[in-house]
Amino acid sequence: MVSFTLFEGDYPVVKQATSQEQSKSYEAPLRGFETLVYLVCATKQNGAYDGFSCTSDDGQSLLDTLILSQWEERAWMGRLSYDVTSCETKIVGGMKLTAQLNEEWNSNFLKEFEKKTFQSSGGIIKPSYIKNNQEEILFCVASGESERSVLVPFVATPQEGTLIIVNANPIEYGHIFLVPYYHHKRTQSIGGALQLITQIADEVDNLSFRMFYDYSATNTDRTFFQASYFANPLPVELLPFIPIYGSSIDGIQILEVADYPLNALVFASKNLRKLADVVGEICSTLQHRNTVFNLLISNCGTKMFLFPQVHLPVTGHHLHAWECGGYFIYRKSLDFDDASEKEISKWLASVSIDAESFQSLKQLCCGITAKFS
Amino acid sequence: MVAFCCLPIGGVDECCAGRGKSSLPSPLAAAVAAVAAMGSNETHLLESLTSRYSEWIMEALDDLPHDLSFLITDPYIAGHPIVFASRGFLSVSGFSREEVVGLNGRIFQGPDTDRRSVMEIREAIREERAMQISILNYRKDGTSYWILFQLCPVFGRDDGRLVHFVSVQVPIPRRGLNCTRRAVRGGLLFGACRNEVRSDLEFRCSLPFDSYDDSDNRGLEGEERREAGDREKQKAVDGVTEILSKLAQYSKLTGRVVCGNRCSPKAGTASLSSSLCTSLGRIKQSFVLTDPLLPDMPIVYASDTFLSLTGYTRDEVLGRNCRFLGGPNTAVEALQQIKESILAEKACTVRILNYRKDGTSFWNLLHISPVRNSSGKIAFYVGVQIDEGLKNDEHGLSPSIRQLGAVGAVKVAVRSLSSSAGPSSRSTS
Repeated sequence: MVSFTLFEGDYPVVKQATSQEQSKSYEAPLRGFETLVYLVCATKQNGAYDGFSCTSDDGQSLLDTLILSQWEERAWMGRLSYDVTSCETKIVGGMKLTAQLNEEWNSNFLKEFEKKTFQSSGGIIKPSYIKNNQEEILFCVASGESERSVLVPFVATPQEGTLIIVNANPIEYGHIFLVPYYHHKRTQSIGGALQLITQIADEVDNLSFRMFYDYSATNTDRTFFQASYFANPLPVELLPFIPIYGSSIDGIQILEVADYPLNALVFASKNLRKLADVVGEICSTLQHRNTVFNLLISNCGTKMFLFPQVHLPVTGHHLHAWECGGYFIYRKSLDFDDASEKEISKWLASVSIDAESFQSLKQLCCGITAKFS
Repeated sequence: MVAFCCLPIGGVDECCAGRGKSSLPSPLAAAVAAVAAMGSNETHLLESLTSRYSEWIMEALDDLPHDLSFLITDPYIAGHPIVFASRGFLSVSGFSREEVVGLNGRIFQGPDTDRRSVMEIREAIREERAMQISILNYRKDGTSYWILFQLCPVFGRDDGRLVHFVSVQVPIPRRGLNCTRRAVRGGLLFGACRNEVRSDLEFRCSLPFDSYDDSDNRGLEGEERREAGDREKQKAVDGVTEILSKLAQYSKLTGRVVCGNRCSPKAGTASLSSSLCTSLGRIKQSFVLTDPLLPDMPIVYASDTFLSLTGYTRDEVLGRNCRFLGGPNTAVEALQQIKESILAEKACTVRILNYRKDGTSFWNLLHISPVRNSSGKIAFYVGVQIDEGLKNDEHGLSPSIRQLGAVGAVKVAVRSLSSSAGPSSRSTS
């Protein structure tokens, strides 16, 4: 576990950020916006990952407590559309797929969130969003310079970081959006964002915490992630994996998910920095090729699932990352009661890329990973 | 009412034949005596109640609301007979009090009573624990009706020994279609069935009728299993609470005080799965979980920090209602606020004066919230305590952040599919 100290008064990094506000930054919707700021420690950033604290018995981490408490508070205050914990969930079939009955589920929540939050192009957060939706913003995570992660209450947001925003249409407890932002750059690539995202997964240090990233042709310039808490592993995490690359202790392992209707790869490593670099590079490559894909980050950042999907320009119906992971939401109780492994498998198979494309994807992934070793 | 059979075989009648001596320890002696002489049979069944709750208990129980349908049974008398049947029960079942007192509750079973549910009840009786289940019962005239069956053991407060079982029955109305179909035409058929049950093995009755598939029985098969709604469940729990408080009140007159919870460590923790306990153990805050489905909402989990804050040991708090934290200067308004938010199934934060075991008091910034399981039902209430005197933790986090962080972690843990799919589950259907 990382340890934390609270800095009273001005904190150097934040101070620096404010002083640079003078410089010409043409897009800075967050300028002057004050919130809780969580600064992740610097040692880890520099690659000095000293193993993992997932198994530590130190209780909840500070970041975990922060996310859960801020989310619970919004839920208590009635800021969410419904209480997702009152939704029934059940296991479907031998693959242990999960079905949730959620009659108030808004399947358009992602599009609505994008429309509300981002400018129509460029992936920049709308100033009006910040102004009108402060209650939705839980806090901000940014890179710090200290050896310890710290919480700074109510200061101006640093120049770059990630906003943690509550999702009012949660799929499970603690569903949040993680929106990376820059004061000085127009766009943010997934490769760059993945470093901090992985660090967040590490510092949350809770095996129930899972992060998602959906990429389709419609959101090309908006990079944001989602995360939620699931007490049980997602079904795909329980399946057997076949190793296809790597074995060394420090390096990166690539595995293939066996016996799953949707072709999927797993990237696993204890070296989070390297893992984020590799997966980030692979994602960037896929984006350039206009490939639809999803990421699922589990196990405190040490496991990343890559789900490539076939491009369906006509229907445009692609699966969310949690759906790729085997977690499905039903709006009607009749459909929920009838949920079957056969039907869900069909959905998963319908977006899966064929064996040939999957083979070339594997080659691509191994090639990129080899470059980083 | 079903299968209250602690002693495996043999009805009341057989038991008396073999052993007629009175030099046995008191419960068995009472049992033997109860059946030895037909005339004094009733007297001894009555003594089962009066010796514990004074001779005014019958009147007191009859004073309870007339629609409250419940039975009290004595597991120490051979055959685990009914020692009291409420007026509400008699009017629903069609029996007279004389007809049921002294008999085992299984006489209310019939051919369509679900075997598995019966087994579950028997298991709860064997383990001396509370349970709730929907089950099909039969009236005297052979017609059947669905009830929510709530079983609750009664323990001696001081020795933790089982005294009686209370079982409350709440009728479950048919949902949707509003037709009142008589379960069966031939009342005689089932009258015969009950006689057979009474005389011998509890499940034998099902055998001769399993093969019946004529038009008479078709109506029964069409009768769908009914599940109790939240209203019925609440009613059952309220009923038990009311009866227990009567029993506790009158037991004070004999000095042999009873309560609904055994003050032993096993009684409480048994209902939580080990995986849930592991997840909860990770939360280093002072908190307790209470089970709203058990009478008087006892504590079923207490964190280590709670124990060090209050000075009690785990054995001393499990199975008890949280009110023992209160004391002479605890404000009634605060307690009322807690009660109201629990009734409304809402979260609340209350500043309340609490007392440690050593008698010292502290201001508790208590946050209470309902916690739902993977079925979406309220499984627990979590109460997170913060001693106002110790405001800042080493990270400078405010009490409310720490509290709500713990609440969130509990809510995530209880949503686990495995934690509500175990045998101890009450709310899975």
